[in-house]
Amino acid sequence: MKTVAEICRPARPENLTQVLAVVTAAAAAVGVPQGRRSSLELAVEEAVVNICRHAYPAGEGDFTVRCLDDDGRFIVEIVDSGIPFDPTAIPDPDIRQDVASRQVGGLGVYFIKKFADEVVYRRDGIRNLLRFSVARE
Amino acid sequence: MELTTEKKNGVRFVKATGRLDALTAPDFDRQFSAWIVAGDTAFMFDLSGLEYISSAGLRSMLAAAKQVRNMKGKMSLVGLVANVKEVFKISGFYSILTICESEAEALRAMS
Repeated sequence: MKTVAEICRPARPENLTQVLAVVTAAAAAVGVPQGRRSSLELAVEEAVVNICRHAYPAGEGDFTVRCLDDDGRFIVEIVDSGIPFDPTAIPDPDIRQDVASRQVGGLGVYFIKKFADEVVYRRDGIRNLLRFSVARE
Repeated sequence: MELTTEKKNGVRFVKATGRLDALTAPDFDRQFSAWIVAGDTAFMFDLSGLEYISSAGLRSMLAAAKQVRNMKGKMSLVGLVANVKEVFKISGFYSILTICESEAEALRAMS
């Protein structure tokens, strides 16, 4: 397994575009096809937006996105040192409700689970570590 | 994201291009509210130029559909590209929004 890209930025939404550009470029460089790069982008956006909105309620902090090239898989690790948050523990939204009762929200974490594989969360000391992958071929 | 628009026969036609994500969704919300305030109740969204939508974009679409519903108006979406279509499908939005294959079909659904 080798690290093919790494970017660390303050947890602010305006950094999203640059982070997505780094991830998609790294994925393209190791041969992840276009459709899966879109899936990756969705999962990374949702994770990063969550960190920017909720990880540091008392002030500012950073997050790091690391891309790893493994045998047949492209892995993304997202690390922050904010409040503990396990996205894998959030229940899926009820997607069968009609427009009136459907809640505006709750889809972000669902997207990570749907568009990425092997979604794993770990609290490591003061850090949240979220890791997921897509197949490379 | 860019929104180009014209009003024809009482219908607000909107062509969205680019990306509807966490960064651009607030712009969409503001623009949509302005149309509602101006009295629009029928909306046709051409998404053929929309290359990416995230959950933030879907939230905006759902919020728009809720406003339209409260006014007993109509809203249709056409021209979804493959990955955008997949996002709508996975979210269950095909059953809560009017998503059509062509503008003609969308206009029929709205009449």
